[in-house]
Amino acid sequence: MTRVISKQSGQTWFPVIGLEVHCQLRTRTKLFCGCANEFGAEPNTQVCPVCSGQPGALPVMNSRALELALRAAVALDCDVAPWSKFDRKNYFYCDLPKGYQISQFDRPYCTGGGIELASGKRIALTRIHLEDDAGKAIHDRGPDTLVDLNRAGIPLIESVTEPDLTNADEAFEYLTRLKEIFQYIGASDCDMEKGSLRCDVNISVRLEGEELRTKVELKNLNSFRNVKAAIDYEIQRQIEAWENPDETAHPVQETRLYDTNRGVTRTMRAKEDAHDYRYFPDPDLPELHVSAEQLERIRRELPELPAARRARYAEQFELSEYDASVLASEREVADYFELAVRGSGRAKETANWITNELLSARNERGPETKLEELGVSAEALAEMIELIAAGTLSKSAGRKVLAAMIETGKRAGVLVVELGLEQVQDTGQLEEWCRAALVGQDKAIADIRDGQQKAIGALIGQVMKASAGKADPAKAREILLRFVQEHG
Amino acid sequence: MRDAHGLRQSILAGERTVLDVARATLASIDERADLNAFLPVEAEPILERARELDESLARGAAEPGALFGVPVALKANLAYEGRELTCGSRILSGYRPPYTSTVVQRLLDAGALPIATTNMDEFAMGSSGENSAFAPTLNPWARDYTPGGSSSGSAASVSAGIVPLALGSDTGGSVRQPAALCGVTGFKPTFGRVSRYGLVAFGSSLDQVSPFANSVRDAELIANCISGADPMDSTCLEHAPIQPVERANLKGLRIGLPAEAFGDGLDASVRQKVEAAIEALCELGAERVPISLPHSEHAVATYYVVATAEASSNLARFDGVRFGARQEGDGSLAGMMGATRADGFGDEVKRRILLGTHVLSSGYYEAWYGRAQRVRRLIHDDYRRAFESCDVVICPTSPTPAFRLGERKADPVAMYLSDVLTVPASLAGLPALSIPCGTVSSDSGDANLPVGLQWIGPALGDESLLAAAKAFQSNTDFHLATPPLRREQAGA
Amino acid sequence: MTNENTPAVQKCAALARLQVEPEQVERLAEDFDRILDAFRGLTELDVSGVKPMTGALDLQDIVRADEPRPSLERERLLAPAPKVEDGFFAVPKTVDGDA
Repeated sequence: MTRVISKQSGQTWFPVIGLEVHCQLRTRTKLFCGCANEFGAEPNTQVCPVCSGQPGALPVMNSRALELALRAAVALDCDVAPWSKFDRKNYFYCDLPKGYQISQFDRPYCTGGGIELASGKRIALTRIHLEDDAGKAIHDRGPDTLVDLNRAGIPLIESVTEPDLTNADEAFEYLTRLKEIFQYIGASDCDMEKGSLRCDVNISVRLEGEELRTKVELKNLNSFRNVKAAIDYEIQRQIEAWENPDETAHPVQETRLYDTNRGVTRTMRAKEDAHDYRYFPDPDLPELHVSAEQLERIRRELPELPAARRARYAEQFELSEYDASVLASEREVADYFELAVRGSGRAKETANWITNELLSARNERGPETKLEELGVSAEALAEMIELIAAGTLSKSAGRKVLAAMIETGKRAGVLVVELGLEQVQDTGQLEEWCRAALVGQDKAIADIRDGQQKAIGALIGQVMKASAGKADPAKAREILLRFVQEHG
Repeated sequence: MRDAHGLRQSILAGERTVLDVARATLASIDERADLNAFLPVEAEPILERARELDESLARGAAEPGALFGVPVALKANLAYEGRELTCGSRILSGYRPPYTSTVVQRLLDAGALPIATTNMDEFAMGSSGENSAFAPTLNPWARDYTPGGSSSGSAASVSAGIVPLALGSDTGGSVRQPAALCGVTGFKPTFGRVSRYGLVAFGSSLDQVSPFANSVRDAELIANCISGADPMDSTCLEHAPIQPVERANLKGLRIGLPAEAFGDGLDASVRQKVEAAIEALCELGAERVPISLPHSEHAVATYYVVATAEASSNLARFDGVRFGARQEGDGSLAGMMGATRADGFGDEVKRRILLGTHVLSSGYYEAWYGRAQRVRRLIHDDYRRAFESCDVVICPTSPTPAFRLGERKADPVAMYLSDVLTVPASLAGLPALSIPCGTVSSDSGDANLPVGLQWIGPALGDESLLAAAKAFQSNTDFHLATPPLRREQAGA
Repeated sequence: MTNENTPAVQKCAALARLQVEPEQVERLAEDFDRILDAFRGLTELDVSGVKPMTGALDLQDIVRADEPRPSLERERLLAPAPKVEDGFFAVPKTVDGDA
């Protein structure tokens, strides 16, 4: 448990933090109508009578949304309810076309579950429920507030944790893990920039042995880093506020916005007498039932999750924790890695080529790029690694070949020939380069004879240079050593 | 125009064109403008549709639909793309929906000629038509009397012979009660047999699009066209459309007579007519079965709690953002919404929104809404038990004949009690119809007013309910009575 | 004399976004009185063990396939709107959550 010692009083405070995370499900269409669930369209072009709340229009549930929501529940080890229902959450706002949100109140589709952090600490989930997203209100363009309903009706799952977190790092790690899992199972893109993941933080601080104190809700957190910064700020702010002898300065139950520019939180609205949302069962939507067979099928079809893969990579392939973690954190990368290893049989080399070369090449192209867009299949990478292992290609020439593979989409074997990078094994040619490299190197020769082996590195470098990287460095080394002995 | 079947036949036989029918209908709407049955009519699209139908017939394009050329009046809460959809409210004045309801689409598919929209209690909230934001509809039988509601204009337009068929919506009796008070047939199918897509919601778990006609046979004809599965409505059943079933006579039909529906609140003259009709039923072979629906006394309360709760949420979308008339208020968003709704909604709608908000609000939910949902099940179960011993429940549709305009307007409780005999079947989701069973003299002796006989069937028993009622009408002539002010049939 | 239902009417009017004039509040509170009194029997009935009936049907799992359907052309969507700007619905300036 994290303690925070007040600089002012020396008192020990304990932060209590819970997260509410909304993720848009990766369906083709909205939750209750056939409009496209796609980001970035012209405003109000993905809207129909249903999602614009035209009088008389009715919702019909998207089966895929339930399927993805159930995958999320199974992946997080939640208890899926045998039946659940939709409720209307009634409130007024310009981005809420029906005057109510279709959500789940007292019978969410799943409860419980959780995520284990690296420390072994488990962050428990209270529940996950399905609901439809609101539209978007834009306040900074002209004298009016402008409303775009493209987002209205997009399926969301809201996952709510128990107040189990005690510091900003745990929140950051929890979000990272949640995102990995949801991306892995294809439930959500979890892209905060596009708003497909949104996180609200409930936070309070208390003294040892105390009940919970007043809770504050933080909103407008548009990156994991901001979540972290806002929590750190808010813990300090609340401690100082509690320690203020003036009681009117104490924290109040409210919603605060994080101001990214100034790095502070500020009051958005005080919770009047808590909202009265008048939830009641939506008479337009029949109950949802989930059978044991359906759940079993989803469980069976679920991919191996990132935590399990990390552990397996470390054990089965003897990868470093770092490599295992990098490779396992994205499903596409992990699947690619495993396929490449199946081809090459060389896990460590494969891991190095992916983490050092392919991922940086991908990142250079921008955050959206997928590994497969580089045009190097896992089989092709495996072939290249085999060429190196067989001595056909040097490691440095390998880098050139891989770059050319990305550029041209050709296979390594073809490029080695085209680029003339095939490693030269021919002894006559190698001897010629070595002899040339030794000319005028009497000092180095003497050093090597004295047992200073590292002086040979410079000589091998000369050979590689002369051969334009095609010489087999191991063979060149043998020949150089033989010549040095023969020299005297 | 009284007979939809006959009208279609005469068109197909070349005795008249659809355009003739359209013109005659528009003319009679004008002539009976005194009734306020219709909201402002846009003639051109109707004539255009009539011409298209005539052309398609001349071309011999396809098998003419079951409602070919038949004018059908639409309650002003059914979306028809491009046509004004006001729901009898100021808040929607000028609103033209960008889509068409399933039922109107099916009418079009059946070759029908949808006619202008009919007047109604605002958002279907009312039992007299007096809550229309425009004008109260008058009863064709006696113009000082209400036609009932909320589908007031649809009932009056069929009663007055302006159209042979009309669609209304029945939430707690909004088709059956005006059918009774106007002396026509009104049929509410089992909840879920007709799509609600495009019917502006009042009480979503109760609303059902329901037809008016001058005979059960015509009601069945249009019910067959509009019913059936709809992927756009999750609460619409997979069942096939309502099929016509014939029944030669009423021998052995067990009619359940609920003691609760024949209690003290029943007008003596209504009682007399209903009992005479029951006698007629028995002469045709039906057998009386005394039954009890013990939770009936709570039906009105249950209904108003459930319906207003749902309405308070359904009407939240009228906020001045995306459609309808906007009032700026104090210039803030909340102020704009508050002013728009204050100005746009009438008193009864406000009363029900507030009541519905109250029964759902924290601290009152369990006492009112939560309880009403449970009592609803008790009412539902009463019927299930009753149908173990009878085939159809027979009772009056309304405890009184038509009442005078203004008589109950000031007293919401008295108005709500007008629905006492229709809300139980609504809560249970059962098919029910009201057919005429004679007329009675008004208290002051100045008018003859129709009395309605209500038939309630078991869930999904729409076909056999209609078959029995058809058999009754083929042996009686109650349904042939017409109001004294009625003009002669157009074009006949 | 203030009706005991006056605060309830005021609270509900705020929740339901209905501007109600003070004299209307009193009248509505009296209506509440009469209506709720007429419905009182409902609150006295024994309903223990009765499962709530939320709809007229016992339907479940009515879903559709995740297949796109055409959206409305923007002109048709925006045509009925009281105020439109640049392809958006325009409303009085507000900050998030402040409605």
